[in-house]
Parts: sequence; C-alpha cells; structure tokens
Amino acid sequence: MDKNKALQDLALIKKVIERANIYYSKHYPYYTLWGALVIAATSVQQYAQLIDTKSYWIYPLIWIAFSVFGTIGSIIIAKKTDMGQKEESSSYIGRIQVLLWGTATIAMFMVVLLALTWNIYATEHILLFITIIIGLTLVSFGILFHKPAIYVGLLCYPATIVMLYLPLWQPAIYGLLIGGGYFIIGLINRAQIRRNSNG
Amino acid sequence: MDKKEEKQIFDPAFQAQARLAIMAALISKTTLDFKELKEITGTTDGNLSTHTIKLEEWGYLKIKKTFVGRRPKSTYQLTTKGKEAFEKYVEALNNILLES
Repeated sequence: MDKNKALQDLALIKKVIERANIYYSKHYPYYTLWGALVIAATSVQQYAQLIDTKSYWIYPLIWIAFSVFGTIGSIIIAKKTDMGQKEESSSYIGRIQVLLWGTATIAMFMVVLLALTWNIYATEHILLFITIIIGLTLVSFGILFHKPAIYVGLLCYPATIVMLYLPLWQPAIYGLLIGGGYFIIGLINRAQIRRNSNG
Repeated sequence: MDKKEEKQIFDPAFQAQARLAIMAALISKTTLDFKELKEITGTTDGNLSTHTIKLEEWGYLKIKKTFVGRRPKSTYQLTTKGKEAFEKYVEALNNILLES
C-alpha cells in the first residue's frame, strides 16, 4: 500500500467519525433555549400588535432582549455541557456550522438595522426577511448535519407567503413555525442521543 | 514488510471505501440503524446492505433485526473482532505515514 492510499483512507475515517459525532452532537439544549425565546418574544410582539400599542420602542426592545438572553443562555449551555466537544468545533464540519449560523446572525442583524434605519418598527417586513434567512440556514444545516431541520426550513417559504397576506399575525406564525420547529428538532435530537447512548 | 505480512495487516475487509466508512461510523458510536448508517456514510441502500453483510460474514459486525410495529428494523454494532481489526488497520496506516 502506498502513502497516498494510506492518507486517503485516514482522511475518510476522520471524515466519517466527524460526521457521526456531529450527527449525535447535543444540539437540543440550544434548540430548546432559542425555541422558547422565539415563542416568548413573538408572543409579546403579537400582543403589542393586537392591542395596537403606540409605544413603538417596544418592538426593537423585544428583539434586543431576545438576543441578549439567547447569547447569555447559549454561553451558559456551552460552558455547562461544553458539548465536551472541543474536537468538534475545531473540525472542519464544526467550522462550517459556526460559519453557517454566524452568517445567518449577521444577515438578521443587518435586516433589523436596515429596518430601524428606515423607521419600520419590526412589524411589516423584518420577520418576513428573517424567516427567509432562517429557512435558508435551516435547509443548509439540515442537508449537512441534522435532517429534521430541512423540513422546518422548507416550511418557512409557504409561511412567508401567508405572512405577507396576514401582516397582523406575522409574529404568531413566525413563533409557531420557528419556535415550535426548534422544539421539535431539539426533541428529535434528544431522542436520537438517548437511543444511541442506550444502544 | 513482505507481501504476506502486508496482506495480513491490510485486511481485505477494509479495501472497499464503503466498508471502511461503515467501520469508522460504528467505531465512534455504539449502535446505528440502517438509516443512520446510510446518512453518516453517504452510501446507497444497496451498497450498504451488500457491505454490511460482507462485514458480518467476516465476523466484524453484528446485525440485529427487530420489528418496530410491523416494520423491520436493522441495527448494526461492531464485534470485538471487528474493533480490533479496525484499530490494527488504522495503526498500520499510521505506520506507513511515519515510515515514509
């Protein structure tokens, strides 16, 4: 056997092991956290829209609080579980994951920033654009790592059409789809891990 | 390393990329079902069936067939012999890289 074949075989083994680890990595605490936060934030926003509040400052405030709580929560989860997975984050697959969600976060931040600059207070278009971005991210994430995410991602597109025609109910639709979707993805991930560790 | 020695170390079971991928997936996880193994290794249904049966014949793999409701379900697990053979193979690969 030559050196090239040995290198090729070792690369394949490494790739498959990384893929198996990612397949069973503990994403569920993050999905549960962000799912709960999406539901909480959209519930407040839906309520504010229904009572037709004139305190428009509340809309950006909801999402600022959402981001702050989410970031703090994610840091706590990462420290607690540390997913025991320093290896994963240093692997190329781990880096793709970070890149994927990082890009989505930056895109969402830019949408919010643009909307605020244009004086649109999170009601008409922000959630619509964010749903498109999240949909794309979930589909890519699903293809690469965790298949159930594809279905939630694909559902985002018919949902944007519904949201376009029902602007008053955008937060509720978004909350149900993304918040509920994250919960389901998290539950599936949790069940897979439990089954595998019992196996 | 003479030809005979090389043949012993370079187990024919691992000469197919699909079989190597199956062994690598199972070495890192205790058990996997057909769908999981297929997704992790990126093989087709037919390929996966053929290669898992071959690995089972070599005694490297245990296939457990059960029913979930009315649907059959296969789960795969490495045997001790399989684990040892795979580890020996990886060690041999590393030795080649160190020698050159």
